[in-house]
Amino acid sequence: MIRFKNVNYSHGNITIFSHLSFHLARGMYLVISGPARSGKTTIVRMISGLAQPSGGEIIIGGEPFYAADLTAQKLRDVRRRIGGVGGIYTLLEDRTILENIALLCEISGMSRHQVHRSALETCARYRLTHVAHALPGQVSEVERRATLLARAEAARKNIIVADAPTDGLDAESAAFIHERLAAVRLAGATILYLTSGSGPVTGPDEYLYLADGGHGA
Amino acid sequence: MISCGRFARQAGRHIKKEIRLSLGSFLVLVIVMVLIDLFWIASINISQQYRQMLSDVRMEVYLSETVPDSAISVLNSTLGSLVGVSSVEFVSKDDAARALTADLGAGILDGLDSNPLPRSFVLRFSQISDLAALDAMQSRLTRLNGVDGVEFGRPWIAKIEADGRTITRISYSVGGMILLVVLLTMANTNRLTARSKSQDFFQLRLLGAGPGFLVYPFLAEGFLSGSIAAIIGWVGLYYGVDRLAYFSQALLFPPWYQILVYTFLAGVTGAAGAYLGIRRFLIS
Repeated sequence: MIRFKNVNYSHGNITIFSHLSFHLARGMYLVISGPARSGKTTIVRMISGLAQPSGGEIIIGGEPFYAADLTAQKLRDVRRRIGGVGGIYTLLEDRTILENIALLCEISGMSRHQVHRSALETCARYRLTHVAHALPGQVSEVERRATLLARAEAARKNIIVADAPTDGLDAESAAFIHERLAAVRLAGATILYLTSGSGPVTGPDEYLYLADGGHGA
Repeated sequence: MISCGRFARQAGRHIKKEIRLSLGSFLVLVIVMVLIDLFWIASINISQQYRQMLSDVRMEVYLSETVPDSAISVLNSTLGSLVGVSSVEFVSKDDAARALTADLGAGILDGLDSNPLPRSFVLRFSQISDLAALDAMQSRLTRLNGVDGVEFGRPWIAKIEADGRTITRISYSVGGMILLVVLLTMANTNRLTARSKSQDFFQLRLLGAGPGFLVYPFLAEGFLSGSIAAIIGWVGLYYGVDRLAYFSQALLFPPWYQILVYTFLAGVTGAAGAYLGIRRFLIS
C-alpha cells in the first residue's frame, strides 16, 4: 500500500534520514518510533505530498508517488485515502465536533444523508455525542484526538496516519485511543503509527525504530 | 456532497470570523450600488424627458409668397402623409398676425402696408426618435416646392441631446469604475478572510479537498453580498425617493426585470471578486 525504497531526505545540509525503507501492506499496523527530529513527521509530510524526497522512491497504491506526472488530481486522490490524527492533521476550529467528523465524508463526496448518518454513528462510537455541537476549543484534548480519529473512521479511510496521537494524554485516554485504533484496524484500515515513545503494546504487526538522522532498523 | 446549506453555513462562518471587515465591505457595496442606481435612474429620466420633448416638438414650415392658395390643401395632404407626422395645422397670414399681436401686443404691425408674415404649416410628430430624424425631416421639407424655410427649436433639442449623451457616458464610466470597486472590495475582503483561515485551507487541502470545495463558500458569500447589496440599494432608493414629494411623481425606475438582471450581475461580480481574492490560496 505504501512503500518507501531507500528514501533520503535532507533539509539544507542536514540529513534528516537516509536509505529509509519500509513496506506498509494493506491492513497492516506499523509503528515507527524514534527520537525528536528523526524524521517521523517528515514521513507523514512525504505521504501527504508536502515534502519531496531527496532520493529514493515512494510508492503508494502501486504507483510511484513523486513522479514527474504527479497531477493535482492524483495528489488529491492520494490525500483522500488518508485519515490523519495528530501532527500536521488538526481540527478546524470554527466547526463543531460533529461537523469536523463529517468533514472527510463531505470531501469524499458522500450524499448529505450518508454524511449525517455516518458522522452521528461515529460520534456515538467515540463517546462524543455530548460534545457533538461544541467547538474544538471547548473540549478536552482526548476528545480532540478522538474527533480526528472519528473523522477518518466516519469516512472509512483505508490509511490512518497517527502522528504521536497519545502524546500528552493520561494512560486511560491513551488506552482509549489505542483501543479505537485497534478497532479501526480490525475493520480493515491500514495504520501507520509514529511515536517518540514505545507506542501501543498490543495490536501492531511491526515496529520500526528510526535512529537519529540514520537508517530504519 | 456539495449542498447549498453547507455553503451558506460556511459563508456565515466567514462573515462571523471577520465580522467588522465583512460589515464594512458590505456597506461599501451598498453605497456603490446606490451610486450605480442613481446614475441609472438619472439616465432613464433624462431619456424620458428627451423623448417627451421630442413628442412636443413643433416644426414650422414657412411657405413662399408665390404659392397659390389653391395649392394649400395639396400641400397639407402631402405633409400629412409623411411618415412620423401626427398632425398638420395650416396657419394663414391672418392667424399668424393674430398670434403675433397676442404675444407682442396690438400695434406691432401698425404702419405696415401689408401683413408681412408668411403662411405656414405647423407639424407635430409621433415617431421622431432623435435630433438626426428631425434634421432629416427638416431637410426633406426644405426641398419641397413652395417651402421658404423650416424651423424648430433645434438649439434646445441639440443641447438636451448632448447633455443626455454626456450623462450616459459619465454613467458608463462611473459604472465601470464602480464595477472595479466592487471587484476590489470583494477581492480584498475575501483575501483577508482567506488569510485568516489559511490553516483551515491547509487542512482541507491536506484532506484532499478540491478547489471547488474550498472556493464555493467564498463564491456563495461574494454572490450573496453583491446581490443583497444591490437589492438593499434599490429598496432604499425606491422608498427614499418616494418620501421626497418633489420627486415622487416624476422619477422613473428601471423595469423590474432589468433590476432582476442587474441584481444577478451584481452577485456575479461579487463572486468574481471573491474568486480573485482567494485564488492564490487554492494552490495545492
